[in-house]
Amino acid sequence: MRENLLRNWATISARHPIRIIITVCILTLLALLSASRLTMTARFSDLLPEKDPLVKEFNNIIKEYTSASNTIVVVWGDEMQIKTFADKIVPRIENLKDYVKRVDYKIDEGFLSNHGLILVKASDLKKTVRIFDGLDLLPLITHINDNMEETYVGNEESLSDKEKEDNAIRSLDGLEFWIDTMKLYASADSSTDDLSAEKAVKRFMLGDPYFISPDKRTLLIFVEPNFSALDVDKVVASTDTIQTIVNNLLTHFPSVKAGLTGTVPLSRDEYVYTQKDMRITSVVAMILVLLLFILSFRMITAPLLAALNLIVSIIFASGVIAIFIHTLNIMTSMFAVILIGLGVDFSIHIISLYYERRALGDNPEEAMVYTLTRSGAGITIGALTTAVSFFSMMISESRGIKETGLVLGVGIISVMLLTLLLMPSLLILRENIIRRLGLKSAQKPISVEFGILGKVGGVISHHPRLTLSVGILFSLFMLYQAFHSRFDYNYLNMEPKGIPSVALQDSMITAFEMSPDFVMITTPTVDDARRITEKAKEVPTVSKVESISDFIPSRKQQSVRTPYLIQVRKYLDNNRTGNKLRISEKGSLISQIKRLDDNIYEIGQMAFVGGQDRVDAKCKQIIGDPNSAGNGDKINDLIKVINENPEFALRGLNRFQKEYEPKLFDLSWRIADTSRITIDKIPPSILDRFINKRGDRYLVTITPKEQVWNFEFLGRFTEQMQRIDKHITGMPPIFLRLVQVVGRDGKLASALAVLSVFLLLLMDFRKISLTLIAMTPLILGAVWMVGLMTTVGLPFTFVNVMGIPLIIGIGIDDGVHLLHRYRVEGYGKSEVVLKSTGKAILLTSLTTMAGFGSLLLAKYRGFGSLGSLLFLGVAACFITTVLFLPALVSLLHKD
Amino acid sequence: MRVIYSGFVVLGLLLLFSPQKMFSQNTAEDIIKHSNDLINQPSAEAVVKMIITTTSGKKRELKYKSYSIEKGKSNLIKYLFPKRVEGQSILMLNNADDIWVYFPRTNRVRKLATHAKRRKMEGSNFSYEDMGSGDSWVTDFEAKMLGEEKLRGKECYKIELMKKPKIESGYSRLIMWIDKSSYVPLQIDYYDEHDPKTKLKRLILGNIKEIDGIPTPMKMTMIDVQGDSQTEMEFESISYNVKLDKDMFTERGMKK
Repeated sequence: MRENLLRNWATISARHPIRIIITVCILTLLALLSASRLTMTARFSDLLPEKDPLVKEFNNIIKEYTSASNTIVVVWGDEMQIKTFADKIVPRIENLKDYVKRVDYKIDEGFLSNHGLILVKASDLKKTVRIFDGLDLLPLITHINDNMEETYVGNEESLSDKEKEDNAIRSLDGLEFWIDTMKLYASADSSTDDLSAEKAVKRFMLGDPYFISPDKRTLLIFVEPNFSALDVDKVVASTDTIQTIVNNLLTHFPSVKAGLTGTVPLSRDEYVYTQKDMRITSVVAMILVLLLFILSFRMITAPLLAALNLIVSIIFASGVIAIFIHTLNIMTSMFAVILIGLGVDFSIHIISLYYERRALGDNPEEAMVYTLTRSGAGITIGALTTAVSFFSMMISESRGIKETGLVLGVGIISVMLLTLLLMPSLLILRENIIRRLGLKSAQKPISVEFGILGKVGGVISHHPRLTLSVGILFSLFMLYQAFHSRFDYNYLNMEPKGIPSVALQDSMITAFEMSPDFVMITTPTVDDARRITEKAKEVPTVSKVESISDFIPSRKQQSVRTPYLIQVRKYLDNNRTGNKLRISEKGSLISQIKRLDDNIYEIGQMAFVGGQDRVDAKCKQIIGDPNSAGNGDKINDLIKVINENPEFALRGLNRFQKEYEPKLFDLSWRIADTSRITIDKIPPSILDRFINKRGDRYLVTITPKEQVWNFEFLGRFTEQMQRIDKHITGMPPIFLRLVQVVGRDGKLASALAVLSVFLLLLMDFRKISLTLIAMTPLILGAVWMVGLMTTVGLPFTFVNVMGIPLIIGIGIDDGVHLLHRYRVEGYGKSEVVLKSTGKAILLTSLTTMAGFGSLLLAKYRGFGSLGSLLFLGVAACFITTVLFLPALVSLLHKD
Repeated sequence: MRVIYSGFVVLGLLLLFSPQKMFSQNTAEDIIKHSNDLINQPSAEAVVKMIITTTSGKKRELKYKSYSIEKGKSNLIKYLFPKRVEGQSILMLNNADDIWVYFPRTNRVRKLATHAKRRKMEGSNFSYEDMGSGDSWVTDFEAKMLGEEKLRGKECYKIELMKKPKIESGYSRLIMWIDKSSYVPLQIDYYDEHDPKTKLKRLILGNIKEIDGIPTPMKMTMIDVQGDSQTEMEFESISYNVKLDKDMFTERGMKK
């Protein structure tokens, strides 16, 4: 029946090529219409099932909280320059109303100025209140010293975690600014900036308002979008627009550098590079395949027709695929390249046989009937075998692998059907045109001979045992290598190399000990948010936890803290004296300033021995390097200034005191506000970051200290987060789940593919021995592939692991073709079989390798890893087929 | 930081027990009790190299000399290297409940917080408690023999120590691997104070040498399995039962 169908179709194609081509054109237009609905996503969370609780929670958060997505502008350079740069660029970014909800680059001074102290732990408040017992310079410095000795020098735990380190750095930073300002007043006449005292007060009480690294060289600007990161168009447009603004402003700041990172730019880069890769690799694959075709057959027109057929086939396949799925993911986005590599084989078979028959004198119709009846069955069976192994991937739980199986399975059948539909008509039409134009008649294609393959076949069939021994020895070596293969879990190694959004992640970690890949959870109450926040802060791998509870202490916490705030206000009330520094107090002042120097030195020493580099570096900024005493010590410089001209210096310091005291009093009074903080007191600028649109859930974000893509760290961090709450989601746990699911599904799909192929071959050959012989090169080819990967240093990745079931579907074809030919020619005819069919499988392997090899050009390195694996896999399967199959057949034949 | 060193002097003393002195009935309690008895030796003196991982991921090498008397109850550490901390010293009395630190440049002695037993010794993954606070293994924990296991090629007793009720300790349980031939602990796992299933740290002891007839692990590595850091300590030299002046263990002694 199949033969009759093919014969009839060949006859129709020969008689009505134009009608068929017109029909195909209409079909192609419809397919184009259908394919236009296909969208793309480059998020790896889309590779997991949508119903996966982690993914579900993640998508909900991304939709409900725009603060869960961000663009981070990383700026680095000289402190003053980067701060000015930030001040200038922020209004420009804020003006992008279409994309930007808010921009943060400074702490919210308003809220902190009015409620700051009630947010401080009672244990810290206890040590801090004395500072407010006298705001005159001398008592103030004395109390600062008392506080430092109690807090830092006398308590080794005060620097024991990142939050405490950050607090210490903030305090030291404020103190540094205070000392600088003192020196300014002590050495200046009356020309100090009017705002100097105010700035010093703010810096001393609230810290540096900018989000700047402790070494003051890197500054961060957080841009919160007003759209969800799922909106790809806005992701791309907003990133490009902000990048343009950054680039434009950078021209005015030659010493400043800046770049974009964060979830939005990363998504943008993934999307843009993936799309670009799709286009480039498809074109390159097409050109390479075409070149191979032309070189092998020494023809031009027919290969061009094959290329045309392939393009139409891919469009047709895209249209059919769009019926089943609407979004291509990272894995399925490369379907076109894979189909080019595989689909051209169908055309090769048709063109090759058709011209052979034409050269033998058949007319076009006879030649086409012969071609389709002889090669049509092979083409359909070959396509079905491959499709079945692809479809077996659909058993996977992972959406990535499942959809890859579906897309490639549907794709390969679509390409096969379209080729059978269109290719014969194209060949006939070409002949008709040539005939009407009176040009040369069709000739047999002059294919490049592969006599060497025939000779190899001869040698192998004469020495099967020797061949098998050598082959097995090499296979054992490859097996040994395969056992040493490794898996690269670093997701960033899949990303395009050298793009700023990826590279800047490392810069952020170095400068802030903070990875931009945070995890998230939502809670129904502020108390729940607090519970999770407190637990997370205890975890050693956590750098930063942000939640609404940072701004709303519990009722109990507020009750415990309030008496300290009352005490602060009492101190302030009792000490509004404003006594001027007298010359007789110079000794006491210098003594306290020197004590400050000693305290900072001792903190630095403790930090050095304790390994707290950032605190140590901050101390060095103030008092210089302890290894070269005296150099760069700002406090010693201040003492020198006072000693050089005490009267002048004290006059300046009194002016400083007069200017700062009312401001410090005012800010201290406000910051010690005792009124209870409730949710309605939180300004929208803070609240909006944590509350969803319905106002019923609060977001908690937890940022790890290190790059989470170190798999060992990722596993530990994720486990720690799950222990806090099993609903915690985010890129790190999703990626871990993906690796686990892909690993498990990959094995399952591979096993099922092997079983499917085995059953299909058993049905085809009806002999278990032949089935096993056909399977042997495939299994050994897979071993070689993994062994070769280790040998050339190519690791498995979560993208290329999907290539294993693909190779099972693709790699089996060589063995099947050879065995079929053996059945026709006889089992002793290795030389003939290899010379003829060996050439065909070499050509199809080369075209497939060319297709897959083009993936190596992809900027997205995940595709490169897949291309490399498939390239090696196809090559390995070809070699194992040519090596083992004739030897096994020869032994079987002798037996 | 200070106690760290007292700590491994104590640990060194822990290793004092020689196999031939071991009792014939090797129940878990026996092994722990007699280990503990042997820990508390009169005095020790050692030069130690310690490598810590800083918060920015760099390795930092520190070297100090440690002195211990009164069966490890009083300890003094004097930094030798690097130059920046040379002369800085730490005094720990009463099993590290009272700690002082001395800074040569400022010539000041600072009293640090008391009751620091559970705290991390600065810059390291060791807490003061890790190195054995007196006879706590016997008094504070219930010993149970889990079996015998081979570890790094050596037959070991595997013993679990569960914290007794109402006892204050940074750990709910410990699991120790003790070499059957030398009775040197080769590995100790430390579990969370509130969750006996959560492992916090692992101490690996190696490079065992006979010092004054006492098998002594010259290298110890404490790995924080929850964080991502480890601390290595190595004895460059160690002597047991040396004569040390009690005056060394005073504020004046710190400055010498």
